[in-house]
Parts: sequence; C-alpha cells; structure tokens
Amino acid sequence: MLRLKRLEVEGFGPFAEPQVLEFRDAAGVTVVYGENMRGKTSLLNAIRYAFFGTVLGRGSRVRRLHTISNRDLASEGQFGFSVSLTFDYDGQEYELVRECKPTVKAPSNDEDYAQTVMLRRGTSTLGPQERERALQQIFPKEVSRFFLFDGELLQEYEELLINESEAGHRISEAIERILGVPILKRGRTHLTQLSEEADKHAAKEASKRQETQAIGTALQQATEQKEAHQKEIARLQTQLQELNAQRTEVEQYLQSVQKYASILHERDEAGARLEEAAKDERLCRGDLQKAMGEAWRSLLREPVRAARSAAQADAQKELDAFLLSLRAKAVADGHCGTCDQDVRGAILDRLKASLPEQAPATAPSGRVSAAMSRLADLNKFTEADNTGEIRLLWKRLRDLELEQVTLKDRISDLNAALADSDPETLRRSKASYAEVLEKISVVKRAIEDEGKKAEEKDQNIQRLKKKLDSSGTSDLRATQLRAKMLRDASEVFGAAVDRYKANLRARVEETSSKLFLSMTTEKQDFSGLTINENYGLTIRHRDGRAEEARSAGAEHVVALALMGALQNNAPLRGPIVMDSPFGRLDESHTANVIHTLPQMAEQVVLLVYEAEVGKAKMRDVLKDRLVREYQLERVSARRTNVREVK
Amino acid sequence: MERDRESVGLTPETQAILAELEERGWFLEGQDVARFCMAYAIRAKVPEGATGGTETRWAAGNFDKTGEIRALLAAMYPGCTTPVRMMEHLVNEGLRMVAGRLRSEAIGPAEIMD
Amino acid sequence: MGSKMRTTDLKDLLKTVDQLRAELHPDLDAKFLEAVVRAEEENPEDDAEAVHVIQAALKTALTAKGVA
Repeated sequence: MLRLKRLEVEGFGPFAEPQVLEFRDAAGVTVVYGENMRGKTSLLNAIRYAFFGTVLGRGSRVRRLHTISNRDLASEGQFGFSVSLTFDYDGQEYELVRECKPTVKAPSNDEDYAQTVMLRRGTSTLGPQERERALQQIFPKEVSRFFLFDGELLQEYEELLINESEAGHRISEAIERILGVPILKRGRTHLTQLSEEADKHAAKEASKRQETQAIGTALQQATEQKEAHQKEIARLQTQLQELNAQRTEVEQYLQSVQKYASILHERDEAGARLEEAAKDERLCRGDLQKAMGEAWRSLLREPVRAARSAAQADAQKELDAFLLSLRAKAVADGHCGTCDQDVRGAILDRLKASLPEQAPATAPSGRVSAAMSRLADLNKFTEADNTGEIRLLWKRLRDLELEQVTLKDRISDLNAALADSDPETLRRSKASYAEVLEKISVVKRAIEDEGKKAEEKDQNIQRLKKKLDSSGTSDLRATQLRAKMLRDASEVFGAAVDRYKANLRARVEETSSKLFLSMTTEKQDFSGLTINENYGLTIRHRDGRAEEARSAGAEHVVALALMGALQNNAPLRGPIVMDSPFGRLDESHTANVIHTLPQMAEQVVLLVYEAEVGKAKMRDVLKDRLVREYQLERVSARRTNVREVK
Repeated sequence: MERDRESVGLTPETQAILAELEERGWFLEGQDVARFCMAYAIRAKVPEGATGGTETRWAAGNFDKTGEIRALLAAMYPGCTTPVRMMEHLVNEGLRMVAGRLRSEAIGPAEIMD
Repeated sequence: MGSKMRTTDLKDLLKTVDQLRAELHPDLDAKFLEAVVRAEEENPEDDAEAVHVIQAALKTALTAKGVA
C-alpha cells in the first residue's frame, strides 16, 4: 500500500518559496484550506507531476510545463520548478524528486526545459529502468484517476453508463486494472502460450519415438493446423481493430457534421422532388396543350346547339308551309297532285276548313332545302366538351408550378445553411461508413468461422494428447507432465478471471452500498446500489426499483461511493487526494461525505475552500480522524505560503 | 360575287397577340390558338365582316382540314358568301378579344372558356 | 526486483485461484500457481520477465515432483 509522508514544492504554481506538507503516520484525513486561486489544484498537480511528469488543466487537458513556473519568479527571470515526494510503499521508504529546469536564459516553451527524475528506495538510488518499473508498479498512470481527482474528473464516471463509448470502456478497464484482474488475464495468456509451446515440444518428442510416432506426428500436424487458424484469427482481429478505428473516425466525423447530414438529406430529397415535379409539369402541360387543341369545339358547343335548334325549327316551319300550300292547291284544283285523286264533297269541305284564312298561294320553292342544308352543315360539326378536363389540368399545372417555386426556395435556404460544409465529403463519408460496417460484419463472420475450425482442431488435439498421455514411455513423461501442468494452470487462471470478477463486483457493490448509505440523506428511501458488468452503479429504492433520473449531486455521491469501494477491495491501495469535491452537494450531503471519508481510504487528503466547509464544521464532523490541517496563505496575487494550522 | 380568300392571315397587331398567347404555353401550335380565338369570336356573336391588312399565315385547306369550319360558318352566317374571309376575320377579332380579356384579368384557359 | 510479498493485498486473488485449483485440478501444485500470480503482479509491463519467472517456478515444481 502507498502512503504519503512528505510533499515539498518549489517554484510550482503559486508556491514560489519551498513549501512543505507533512502527512502524519496515522489513518485519517489531512485538510488543506485555501481560497480560489491559492494553489489547491496545484498541490494535486504537484503529486501528479512527481509520479508522471505531467500536469492537468481544465477538461483534463495536459498543460504546458512552461506555464507551471511561478509567475512572480518568472517575472524576475527565474524559471523552473521542483517537486519532492516522500512515501512508504510495501514497508519501504521512497523519495521521488522530479525537477524541471530551463536550458536557456529566457525559456518560452517546453523545449527550453530539461526534466530530471530521481527515485531513492531506502538508501539506494534506482537506475532509470528500475525506477520506471517501480513507479509503474507503485502507482500506474491508468488508475491515477481513482486516487487523484477533482469535481471535473468525477463527471467522467457518467461515461461508464454508456457501454459502447470509448471513454466508458477505458474507465471500465482502469477499474479492472486497479482490482487486479489483469494479473489473472496476463497469467492465463502466458500460461497458454507456454503450454502450447510445451505441447508442440511433447508432440515433436513423441514423433521421434517409434511407439508414439503416429500419434506424435498427427499431433504435430493438428497443432500446426490449429496455429494456422489462430494466426488467421489474429490477423483478422487486427483487421477488425483497424476497421473499428476507421468506423470510429467516420462516426466522429459524421457526428460533428450531423446537422449538415440532415440538411443535406433534406436538400437531396427536395432536389429529387423538384425533378419529379418538373417532369410532372412537362407531362401535364403536354396534356393541357392537347386538350386546348380541341377546346374550340367546346367553345362552339352551345352556339352550334342553339343554331341547330333554330335550323330544325325553321325546317319544320318550311315543311308545314309546304304541306299547307299542297292542300291549298288541291282545294283550288279540286285534284291532289300527291296521290293523283280528285278532291270532292266532304273531303273538299274538310280540306277547305283546315286552311287558314290567308292560305299560301303556291308551294314554296328552295326554302325547305336552305334550312335543311344549314342543319346538314351543322351536323358536320363534331361536338365535344373538354372544359372540365381543361379545368383540372390547369389547376394541376398551377399546383406543380407553385410546388416547384416553394421547393426552389427551400433548396436555396438549405444550400445557404450548407455553405460551410462539404456535401461531397459528407456523402462519401456516409458511403464509406456503410462500406466499413459491411466489412466489419464480414470480418466478424470470418473470425467466427476460423474460431470454429480452431476449436475442432483443438478437440482433435485433446483426443490425441489423451492417447499420448496413456501410451507415452517414461522418458516422455517429463515433457508430457510439463505440458499438462501448464495446460491445467492456464485453465485454472481462465476460470479464475470470471470468478474473481464476479466476486469483486459483488464486494464492490456491497462496499459502495454501505458508503452510499452513509453519505446519502435519503437513508429511509434507498436500500443501496446495484452494480452492472461495467461497474456502473444504480441507486436502489427500498421497493426494489432503480432510481432512473439522477441529479448531478446524486451522481457525485455515487461516484464517491465507487471510489471508496475500489479502494477497499483493490490489491492496489493508496491515498485519496480530493480537490474541492463538494461543488454540487448541499450542506447535509457535504457533512455526510466528510464523515464517510475515513472509511474510503486509510489516508485522505482533502483540498477545500472554507466557504465549502469551515474549520469548525470539519473538526466537529471528523473529530479524532482529522489528523492535520493546513492553510494556504496569500502573500500576493502570485504567491502562496503553506502554514500548518495548530 | 366577291372572290373568297384561299388563306387565313394576320395583321401585325394580331401576329404579336398570337406570339403572346403562344408564349403562355397553353397551346401546342399557332393554329390551335387561332382556332380557339375564332370559336371565341363566334360564341361572342361577332357579326359578318372582313379584316384588312393581313399577311398570310395558313392555307385554308390546312387550317380547316375536315371542312367542318367552313360548313359551320355557312350555317351560322347564311348570308356570307366568302367563308374563308369570314374565318380570317373571326380569327383576328377573336385574338383581339381574348388578349383583351387576358390582359385585364388574371385568368387561366378554363376561365376564358366559361 | 526483490520487493516484499504483499500477502494481504493479493489475498483475495490467491484465494480465488486456489479455489479453482481445488475444483478443477486438485493435483496441481498450489505454490506454482501462487508464483505465477506474483510474477504477473511484479512485472505488469514486462512479458518476457514474467514468462521467465513462470518458467523458473515451473522447473521448481517439476523438480519437487521428482521430474527433471
């Protein structure tokens, strides 16, 4: 376990003069009070710098080392800084000193500095390689987030809940790292590697001996074939990794231009619709023109009908007059010219009576044929009425014209919105995204197929090994035993990974629930936390339901509970250094968190400003678990001193 | 008896009107415009007459392929002895009337026919 | 490296490994498995060194069984 003993900083951030913090050798909390800009984050960064040689700024971005030198000293031409950290690890005392000194008189960037590192263990100074190995073992960078954190870093915890996110995956891996899972995974990998080599050796030896030659040779062949499949799987997995990286790159690009993608889609759709509307307009216009070619008939329909009626009436009149004249002539002549009969007596009287007073004298000539001839001419006209059709076509044409105008306006607006984008690249990216997804699918299937083939070969290999084990001679036994031991050990480690992870998750869930219940103010409503496969935690109500919507404050408390649970269950243990962790918490939660701190780790260093939690409150809540207090005192805007509060 | 014409012509004014109407895109060709306007004039009961100063545009046999129009004019204008001249007059009058309407009202082909 | 064995810290890990040894291969040498755990813990970034230590532990285990 790692335990801090002494921190000395000089020229680092606001600490112009050498400043020292001594950490007592007792379990509990060391509190450092300081207003904003006094150097609380600088102290956290000093520890980070000592171990890793880097300093983080806002948004976890790496800061340029040139900007770390104290500004006051820099204005006097003095650049550079140093951090010295003394700590205990595994019963040994270490001293780690890291310095950053300028190599030129007026440095302006990081290239103008040289860094030196020294790690002393006991009385001996470690060489560079040994030093780096030791530091990697004592305090691996990938897990530093669980020991050194501020409010901003706590927000990263939310990434855990997004399964497929790159950040969530990294944090999940970091948690497994701190819990020791890689020890088992690496053990499994190395034992498998060694067992395969041993098996190959055993097969080779067996093939040299007469009594086991056949099995030995078959085993060698099967092993070679299995290796070929495994090699292919490895190649495909590399390919899959590359494709996934490509996919991520395209996804990130598409996400960044998402708004453009949807605008482009809308514009393309509008363009297609415009083309369609133009085509429909051309067809409709053609139909209208055809209809208008015959429209003159529709215009003349009523006039012609009226003329026809008039002609018919005229023709009828003329026929009637003609018939009357024939009757008058028959009366006058006493003889009917039509039936060639004499007209006498009663028939003559009847005919006389039917004539009007002024009977026509003679038969009309030619006039019957005029009206009839008009009728005949009018009947040559082919009637039609396509007014209704023309009305519909005209309306449709107007609608299509309006639609096109509207679409053109819309397209113009969309083009303006796309002015800053690159539609061609966007289109190509979408196409390449589809392509890469297809390739990923193909490669995954190929990996599956190769896996099945390798599995078949492996089963064959196991059968042959069993045969060999039972038939081998005594001088083969050593080789076989070696191979068997490694195989069995690999199997044990493989099973241990899953068992250990399951046990760990259960323990982390139990510990984090306890810590959470200690920190929450809703002890009556909540029963604890539930953990998922990726170490994401959900709050559980007493009725068993999960609390879905969580406030930023609740997220904070859950993340703190996880930190504490990891500390308690990890093989890798050390101090927790927290920089202003109460930002989103109310007074009650803050008090609860402070009260719970000693349960999270043996050594806790808390960097706070007094408006968050005053000295009186801190002392009251922590009591004898408050081991030491420091105050960051303002000397000037650019200088701070560290004073122990007695 | 007065000799009839053998072609249908337009005055400079009605030629411009024809071009204007063709521009609208409602008709496939100039003859369709002319026939439409002629029918419009007949419906409006334009009296018998003649239009002077015309320049030949279409042969009568082409304009009235089926002879329907000449038969129609003979029936509706029984006193007229020069049907092609009448045809020409009605075309020119019709063009002026339709153009007048379209210039003063924002209407479409269906409304003109109402 | 020569660092002291931190039995407490690796306690749970070793316990899990030993449990599975007893379940799956009870005749497997427990000390050998413990040595593998420690080899990995002490060489988190060094594959070659970890494998070297494991091979040495294997040799010890085989010798204890009376096998060369």
